[in-house]
Amino acid sequence: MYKVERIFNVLALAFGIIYTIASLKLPRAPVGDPMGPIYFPLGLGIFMAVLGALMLITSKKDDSARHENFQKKNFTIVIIIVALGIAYSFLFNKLGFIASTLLFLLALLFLINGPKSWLKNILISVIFTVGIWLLFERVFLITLP
Amino acid sequence: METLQYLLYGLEVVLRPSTFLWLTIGSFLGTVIGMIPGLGPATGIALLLPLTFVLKPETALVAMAAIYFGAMFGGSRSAILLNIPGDASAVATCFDGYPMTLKGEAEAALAISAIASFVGGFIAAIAFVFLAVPLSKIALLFGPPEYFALMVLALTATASLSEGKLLKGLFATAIGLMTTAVGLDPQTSVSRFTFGNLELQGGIDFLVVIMGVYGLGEVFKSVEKTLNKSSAKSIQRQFKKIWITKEQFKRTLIPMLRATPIGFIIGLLPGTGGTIAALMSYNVEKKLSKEPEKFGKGAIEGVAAPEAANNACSIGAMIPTFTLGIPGSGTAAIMLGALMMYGLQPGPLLFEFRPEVGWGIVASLFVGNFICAVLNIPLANLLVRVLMVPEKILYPLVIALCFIGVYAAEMSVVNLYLLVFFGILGYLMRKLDIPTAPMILASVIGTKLEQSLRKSLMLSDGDFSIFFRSTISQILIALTILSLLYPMISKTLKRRRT
Repeated sequence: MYKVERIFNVLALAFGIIYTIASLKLPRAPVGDPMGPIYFPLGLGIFMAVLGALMLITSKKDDSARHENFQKKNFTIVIIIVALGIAYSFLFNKLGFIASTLLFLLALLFLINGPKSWLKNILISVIFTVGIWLLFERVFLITLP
Repeated sequence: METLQYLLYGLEVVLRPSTFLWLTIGSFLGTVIGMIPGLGPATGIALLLPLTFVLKPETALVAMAAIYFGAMFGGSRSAILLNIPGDASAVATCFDGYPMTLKGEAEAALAISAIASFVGGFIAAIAFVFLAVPLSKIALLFGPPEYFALMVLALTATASLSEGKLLKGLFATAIGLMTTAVGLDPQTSVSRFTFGNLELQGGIDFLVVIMGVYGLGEVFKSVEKTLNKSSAKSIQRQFKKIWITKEQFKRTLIPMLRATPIGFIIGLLPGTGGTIAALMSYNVEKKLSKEPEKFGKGAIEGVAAPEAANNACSIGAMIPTFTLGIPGSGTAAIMLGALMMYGLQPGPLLFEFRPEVGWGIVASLFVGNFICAVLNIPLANLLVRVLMVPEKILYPLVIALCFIGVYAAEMSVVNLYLLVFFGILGYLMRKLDIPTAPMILASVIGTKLEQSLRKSLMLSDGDFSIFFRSTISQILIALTILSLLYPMISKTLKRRRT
């Protein structure tokens, strides 16, 4: 945990510095105070950098108690869900709402609920997808692709 | 007198069929979401946010308020029956609620938690009626510099009070504010941090931030926990009559009445949620009790006090949200976001010119509390069955709902990618013990914060001393500094005591 915490603090500091530089490079306003749009992000960048530095100085070594938070096994499932989410975003307009949502839900259910209850998974996916589609198209009058 | 007339008008709005229907749906959804471990009111309201595009403002906000206090009712069900708080603010209910179940007193525990929730909510709602208008008039004294100072205070107080991790809280605040600095600058149309992407010029919708951090992020964390668990706990399904004896009522009345103001005041403060309110009132009861040794072993007062407190807290948190635009909790911040999506401004004008919204919300607190009590006492038998729906089916559905909701809000695929990004961010924040409430608050009020900063500087021609000119801003700045030093002060005080 201590190591992870360290890395996070360094990243926060670096991000703050990069953000500050990026803010200074923002285009100046054509009207009014030329620095107008820059004050706020500039302040934020400096604030973030100072925070990162403070966290780095004050972090203690005895923070190792919550080590179980970072186990490989835990991350795998989240990474798979994230990958599925990105695939869903990518396919959404290409396959349309019904096909892409059906696939997305099926994949999620097989992943989380397990392949043993495959019939249940398929039924839930179909009912949920069609139900949401009807709700949007008929009740809310929002057209989905 | 005028207040009562407005309140009656609000009641009339709430009792209209369409509003009443959504109030009931909200109460039901809130109770169910509160019961399910891992999903709290913030996630529930976040999932309903896209509906704001099809409902009238008063209907949507009434439904959201119902989810908020419904979750306070529901959170205690799983705390009592399974020893798992359905919502973080039900943690204190576990201490004595579950021992009561083990002793075979589940009926009394379920009944008293709903009764206490009702009492706490009802009294807090009365206080809301009388505080709403006077408090909202304070807002009239505020110019841009005062508003800027007030918002800074709200942000620092949230970071410092929320979970006792000041630096991490401030980090979350900074990230939240940064999300609002993306897009075209509203005053000068300078494009900021859009990386040449046209769709980002409109800025990052806080709906996406909220759905990502509270929806996806929360579910990621819960999925991981579910898969690590070996088997589900068995749950009591057969109940006798869910009610309490007269003697039990007598024992709990005073604790409930004591816990309500505690919860209410904690709710008013920015950044302090129901968890702190419940824990604090539990400790107060334990200290004042003649038999403190019974606490933790199934004392009925130990269920009544925190339940009254967390409901009073949820209503207290709505007051600064709708009167000053400063949310009292993360969940209330999402409600403020919904209000702003309608182009409505919190403050006195909301109660004067849009009474159907302002007073509709107030009136819904009374009616909604009643509906929740009905749902949670006579219908408790049915509701408890929800706890038997496996989480493994529920979580995939919630994930899908997050994606669909975000898409429906803006019809933009870019938002789906952003959702994934904020989902990962929310997940990592939970892993690193970074509080999420300050980030949500910051992403909701960030734009207003920058605008008040810029307006102040325009008024003063770029002179920063304008922020220290009026007495109000001086007081607010002093309070800000105090809130930043508070963690250090409380640490030294504790050290001295021991």
